Amino acid sequence: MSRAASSTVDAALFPGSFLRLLSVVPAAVRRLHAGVADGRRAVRGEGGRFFFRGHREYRPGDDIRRVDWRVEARLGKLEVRQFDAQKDVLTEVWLDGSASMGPCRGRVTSARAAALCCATGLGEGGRVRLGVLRDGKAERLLEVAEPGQMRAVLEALSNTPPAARAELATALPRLAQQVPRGARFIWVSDLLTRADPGVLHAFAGRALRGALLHLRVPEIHAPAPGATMRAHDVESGAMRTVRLDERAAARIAERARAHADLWAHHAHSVGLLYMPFAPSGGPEALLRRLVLEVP
Amino acid sequence: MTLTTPWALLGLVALPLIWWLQKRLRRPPDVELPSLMFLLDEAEARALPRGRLFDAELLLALAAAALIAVAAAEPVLARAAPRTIVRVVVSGGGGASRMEYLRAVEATLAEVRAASGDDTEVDVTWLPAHPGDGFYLRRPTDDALLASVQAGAASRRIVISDRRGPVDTLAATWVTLGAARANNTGIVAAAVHEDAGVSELFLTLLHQGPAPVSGRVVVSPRVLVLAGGQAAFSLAADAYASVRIPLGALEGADLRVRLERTDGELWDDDLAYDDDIELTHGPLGVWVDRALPAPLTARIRHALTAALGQAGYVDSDWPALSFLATAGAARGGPVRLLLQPTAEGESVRTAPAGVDRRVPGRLVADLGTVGTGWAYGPGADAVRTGEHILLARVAGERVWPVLLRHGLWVRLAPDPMRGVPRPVDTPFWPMLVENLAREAGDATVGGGYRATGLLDAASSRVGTARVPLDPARLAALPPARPGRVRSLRPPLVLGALLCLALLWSLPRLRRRFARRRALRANPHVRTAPSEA
Repeated sequence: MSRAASSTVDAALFPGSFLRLLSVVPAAVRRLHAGVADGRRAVRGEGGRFFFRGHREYRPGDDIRRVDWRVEARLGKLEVRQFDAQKDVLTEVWLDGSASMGPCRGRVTSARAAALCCATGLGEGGRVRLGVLRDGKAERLLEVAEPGQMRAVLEALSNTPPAARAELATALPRLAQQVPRGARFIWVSDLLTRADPGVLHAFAGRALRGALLHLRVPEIHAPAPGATMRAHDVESGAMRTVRLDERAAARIAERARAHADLWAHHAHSVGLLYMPFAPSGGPEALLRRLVLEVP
Repeated sequence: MTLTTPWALLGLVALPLIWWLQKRLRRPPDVELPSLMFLLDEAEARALPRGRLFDAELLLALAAAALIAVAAAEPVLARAAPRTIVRVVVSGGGGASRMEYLRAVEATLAEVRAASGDDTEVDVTWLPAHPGDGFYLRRPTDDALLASVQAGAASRRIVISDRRGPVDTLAATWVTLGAARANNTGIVAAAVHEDAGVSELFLTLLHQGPAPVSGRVVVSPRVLVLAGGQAAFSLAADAYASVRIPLGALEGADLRVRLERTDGELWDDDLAYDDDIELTHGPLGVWVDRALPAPLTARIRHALTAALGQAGYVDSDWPALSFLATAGAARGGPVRLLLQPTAEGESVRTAPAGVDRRVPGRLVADLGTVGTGWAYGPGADAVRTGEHILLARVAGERVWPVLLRHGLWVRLAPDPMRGVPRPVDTPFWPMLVENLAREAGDATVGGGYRATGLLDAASSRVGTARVPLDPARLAALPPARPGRVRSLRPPLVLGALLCLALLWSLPRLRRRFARRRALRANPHVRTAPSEA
């Protein structure tokens, strides 16, 4: 089974070095969050009062109030009820699945970023939902609750290549309806859309926390600086011949920066941390920021 | 220049193909971008730069292809074809019968050219007669002719002269073009004997010619009040004769001696110069710089007296620092001797014992450095620009010049008044002065007279023997030097490799510099290779 599962994980997306990094994420998260105030973070295990987890056989020392007397009356044996911790932390990780996420190592970087988000969510003891925004829809891929299920996350990410257009103006309001109140919401996107950043306000008032991970590809890929290139848009297929000299590159970078600032402003206004990252940054740096900065 | 494999030039057809490929490849590359959102405001650029049909890369590629194609054709450059060279050295001949000799030389040269093939180069060198010795020319020596004809590469070496060559000469074919009808009679020696107011003139006449001749010798004093004299002579073919002419008191008068025919007409033969000589009793002007030390002046006077009898005098009014010996004002210029005496107490360097090195000539005749001490003042032993050494002492690797010449100037490098023994105290000194006087053009005769017009027989007479050229010796000559053919393929291949190396490195260098400029302008601008 393990051989079959490994065959579905794209080794190009998740090489061995990245998998080794993923394996240490739970321990690292617990170590970093040791001493944090109760209730702030997800805690899995016994001791809760509201989230019924199941029954087990009574053992001496158990709280007598947890004995399920109806089971004793029906089956004639003592069973105690188990509850999860006082808060069930849910991490919603949503990945922009549009075709624009593919070029310039965008897919590799975004997939690894999504995997790291899932790993940190699982490491903190909560559940993780992974979904994709594409064609104006919010498609949920899977929900996992154990760190051992990270392979399923990687498989899902491997089998979700970027394609089509995101249509964020439609997809984001639909997504806002799916995200539970108070959930931890992480959205990985390149934000290469004409949609109004104000669409983020659909998440306002939902007590969300989390971050907007902006996959920013500031690099202007040209065959040679100062040369002319024929640029193809992977989403629309449009083509434009551009001579990329120093001045043009500066203008393009300025437009990209203004666009990012606008999205960052709206993300902050709905309580999301704006966190840009680039393919050249490396997964370790992103993991550090995810653990330390993302609420 | 020829092409060994001209069909290889078909490779030049690749040139337009390269041009077409380059033009096609110069289209801008397609780059896949996540979005054109930020590029839409940029102006649409032209796919191909306007008017750029050629650029450095294309030119380099074309040059490399062209060089390779031409190198494949293997052009060769014939730097020198195999040549057959006949080297001919022509002697300037003697003083007499020059025109007949020169005509014979021209005829022989034409014969040589005719006997040689069309691909044979006839290299003719004229070795002129020795100039500067009066109105007639002294013939070059046989050694000089042989040395000249042996220089350089040649298939056959020919010497053309009016006299027979050395018997043992195997280095060259000696063609003798003597004047069989040469006819010259001249005075070859003269002497005046004066005793108690009675004088006698002794002459030696030489006749060269096929037939006997007769005439008379007429002596005319330059002073009209004095009586001259004459004597008849008769000479057989190729014979000498001595003539004695008694004269009265000459009182130091100059004498003119000439040959006349029996009927009183001028003597007419192939060389007139030796038919009329002058015996001059006047002093030989020798100026000595007054700055010279008095002992040296006295030594010079003594040496002149010993060499020239009482014919010389010393004038110390000449301002230059030179010892000027002049004679025969009408014939050539004076010879100036530059002495370099050192001051009293000035340090000198003494030449150690060694061997002589000399350039043969009249100035160093009978001179040697052995037995004389040579002391040099500061810088005196250095050879100056234009000087050549006539006489030197060689001690080990060091050359100590003694006598040097530059034009009319003759320099005695060591101090004549220093050294052990001093030069002025040795036979070197009078012999040097006499050589100087002879170099000035005169010959001393007895009685204090100096003669002008005396010619030695060897230099004034032309040969009479004839050994014509054998045309068979010019047939089937081997080439003097093989032809050299140089292939141009290595430099062409080297040039092609150089073009390819430049073609390989030029885009990389260009990208590197452009990337640096772009990064300086905007740190966000990167290129794909760094990202990959």
